[in-house]
Amino acid sequence: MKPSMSFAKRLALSLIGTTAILFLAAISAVGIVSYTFAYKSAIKETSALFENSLLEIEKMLTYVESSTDGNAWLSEQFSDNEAAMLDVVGNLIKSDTNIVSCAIGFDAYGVWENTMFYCPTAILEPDGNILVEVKGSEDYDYLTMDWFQIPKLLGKPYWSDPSYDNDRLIASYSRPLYRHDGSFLGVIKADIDLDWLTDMIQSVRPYDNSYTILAGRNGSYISHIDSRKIMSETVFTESLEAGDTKAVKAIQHMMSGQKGILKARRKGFKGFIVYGPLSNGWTGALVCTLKDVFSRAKRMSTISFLIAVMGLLLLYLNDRKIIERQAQPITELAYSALNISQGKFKARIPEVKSEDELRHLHDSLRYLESSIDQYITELRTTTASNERYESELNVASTIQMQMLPNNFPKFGDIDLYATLHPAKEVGGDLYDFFLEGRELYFAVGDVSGKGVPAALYMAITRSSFRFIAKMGFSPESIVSRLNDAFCDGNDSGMFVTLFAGSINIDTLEMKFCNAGHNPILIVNPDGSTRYFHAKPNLAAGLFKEFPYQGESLQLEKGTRLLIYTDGVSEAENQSKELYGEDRLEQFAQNSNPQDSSEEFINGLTASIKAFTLNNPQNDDITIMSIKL
Amino acid sequence: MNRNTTILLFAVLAAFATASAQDKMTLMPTWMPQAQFAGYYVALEKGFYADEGIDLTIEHMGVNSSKPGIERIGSGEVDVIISHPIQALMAREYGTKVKNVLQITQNTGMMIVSHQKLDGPQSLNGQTIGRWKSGFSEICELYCLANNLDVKWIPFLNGINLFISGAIDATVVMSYNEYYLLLEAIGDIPEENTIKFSGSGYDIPEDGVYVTEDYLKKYPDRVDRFCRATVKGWQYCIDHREESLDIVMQYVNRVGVRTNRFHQSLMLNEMINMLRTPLTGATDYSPIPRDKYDILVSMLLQTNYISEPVSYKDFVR
Repeated sequence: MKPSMSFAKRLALSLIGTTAILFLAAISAVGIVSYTFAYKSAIKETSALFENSLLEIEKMLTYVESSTDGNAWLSEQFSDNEAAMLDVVGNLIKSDTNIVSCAIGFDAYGVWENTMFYCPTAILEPDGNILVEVKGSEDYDYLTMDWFQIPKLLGKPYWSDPSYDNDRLIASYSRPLYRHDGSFLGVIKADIDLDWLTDMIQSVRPYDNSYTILAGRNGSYISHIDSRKIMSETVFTESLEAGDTKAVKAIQHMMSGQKGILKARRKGFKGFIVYGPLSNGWTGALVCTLKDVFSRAKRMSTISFLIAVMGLLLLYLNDRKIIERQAQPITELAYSALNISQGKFKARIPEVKSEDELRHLHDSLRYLESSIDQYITELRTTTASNERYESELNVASTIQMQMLPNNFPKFGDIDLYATLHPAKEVGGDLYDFFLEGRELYFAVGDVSGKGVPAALYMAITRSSFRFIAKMGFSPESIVSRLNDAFCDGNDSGMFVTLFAGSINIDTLEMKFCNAGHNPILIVNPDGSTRYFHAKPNLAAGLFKEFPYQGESLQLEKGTRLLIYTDGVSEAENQSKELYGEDRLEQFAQNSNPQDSSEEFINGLTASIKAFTLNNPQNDDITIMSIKL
Repeated sequence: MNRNTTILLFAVLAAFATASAQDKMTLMPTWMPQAQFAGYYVALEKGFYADEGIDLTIEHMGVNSSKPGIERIGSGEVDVIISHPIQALMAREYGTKVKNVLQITQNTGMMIVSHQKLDGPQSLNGQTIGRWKSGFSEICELYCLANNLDVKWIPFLNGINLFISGAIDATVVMSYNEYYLLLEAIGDIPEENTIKFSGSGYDIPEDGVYVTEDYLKKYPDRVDRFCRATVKGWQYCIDHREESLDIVMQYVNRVGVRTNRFHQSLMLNEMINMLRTPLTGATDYSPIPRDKYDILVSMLLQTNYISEPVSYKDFVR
């Protein structure tokens, strides 16, 4: 069998299990609260940070717009003065450090009838010089360019979506110009370098993995942490490629010029996006991962968890030690109980000083120990006494058996043999025989009861029979005298059934008296059998002076007489069946008439044994065979 | 001169002879590098032109030249151009007699996309519609003329910003390029806001290979070899799309075109669709059908895009 866990370990584990559940519940509750708090704070903080960044951009855009708008009236006023126009564009660049180039594109034939292209331009060169020139030709057809056409068609200023100009990412603010009569004159535009803008916006990183994106009206990335995506991909590209229509819808909402927060959960990304529009139609978004947002809360949860685990471990070790110490007397008491069970009744029982269940257990064990000790002492005395009694009984049995004649001489031609098998050490059955003159006296009796009283009575009966018979009395006189003698002072009410008789060994006449005994079985010389029911007299010892009647029977040579006690006919097998007189008669009929009395009795004894098998013998069995 | 030196000399001469046997040709597609021209890139990179004895150079509009191929082929600056039938017919007006030697796409990619729902041609009446300054949108213009629509055409250089900004009501797009640019810009395009010319009476095949009549007369075999290698290149694209896309992206990245692989993959797939002949669905590079050609010429004459008829025989090899 697998050794089970110790009581202390089991109890400690059980306590720790409960505590661990409580700890876990507490940590989870704290975790949920801190995660919720972290999330809400992150949304609040990043929103504020993001809006500040947008405001910074707005500030710059507004500055560029003001500078450009401020020069518009000059362009409208002095459009036909080329030098003045070149001054305007040159001064516009100087007025705003964000502006890297600017131009005034006049409508086709808008200033002079014969001039289709007229576009005074200023460009800030890398060395800091400002190059001013009049541009516009078939090769530089600004009339079909977005910065010219869109404000012209819309009739209002326009911020272009960014584009690359000589590897420089620029965006243009362009404003339509009108004549006094309100007709369209041209467009003034200022280009700004977006490199500083993308640098600035990328520096807005509240978390390690967060990043900011800026997208134009056409969805193209103006700024992205992955520079390869800038102007190559749009905010929709990835979702369209993945076929994620839900994401497309969400991004459409994001690009619709509204502020908001988008919770995003897709392959490889879990987080939120704070987004909002710029006044020029662009959209900014700050992307934050939940991993970053929850990193502090996660660290705290991990530390709390580790502390809880350490605490539980210490608690377990401590609990186990305490429980072991508390349970130590139980272990010792268990050892004591084991010792007691092994017969060490003087084993030391550990002292328990506390007044609790342990003390109760201790007292019970002590009481058990003393009770067992006392019982064992008594048992020893009783056993010794029993042994002595048994020994005496054995002696008595030997004496009793020796009282019965065990020598079976031939009386003339008469062959007599008898056996007595007591059910206990000593029995109440008896048989006797002796030859007095030419008369062979014999008796078979059964004293009521069993054991020692019956044995004593049997001894008296046998010696009285022998004494009286030797005085020459007839069997009925012998029984009458025995009866009278037994009735005197028979306070115990014992009696004896007795078949007493005498056979003249010459004439083979049998005289007999049956005092309440079984019928005898007569086996004729031809092997036929019959029960001889003698006159019914009472058993001896019941009524004094009872008139016992004797009988006589002339027997034939070769006849066998079988006198027995009820131990034979009432021998019982395990099925509670009796051996019975029929089975006895059957045995006699089947036996060989030539068999000696000893052979006959041995055969009968074997037959009874075969019948009863192992069923214990419950009455003395006495058989006497007299073969004439 | 010993024997070994002689063998070496012959070997060098043989190698030189082989190299010089390659006929130099210059091809000019209609636009910057993109999957619209995947077949030519693939044929060049996989050595199909070299196998045909052609040493091809590809010059792109906007990269190697600001002038379109149709303007350069007349002066012999380039040998082969990719163009549309209308462009090629109109070029004859200026004396550039080019001939269609191989028709690549079998239908038009021309579409009109509007901010509003388009319910028949009349929906476009009174609208401002963007079109490329460089041409290619003549089909749309013919469509509007035929339907007596009062349309204001706004020419623009490229892209979709004019449309996105709301400055125009509708714009002309190519199904394989601007349509997808627009899709990537706004997320989805309702089909009801579009008019597709493919499958309509205006379904005039577009990209084809053109050489001048003189060049064809002078180098008929070279042109044949060029066409064979080109067909092989397109067939390779059909069979190996990812590898072809890799090659396209190499061309795109080499000159820093601002695009992405997803966009180019959409373009390549649409181009491959357009290779199929509408009636049979087969990819057989059939020349422009006679009936469609006749309708086109008649429309161009009516609208004064061309002043003289051009016979089918003169136009198609």
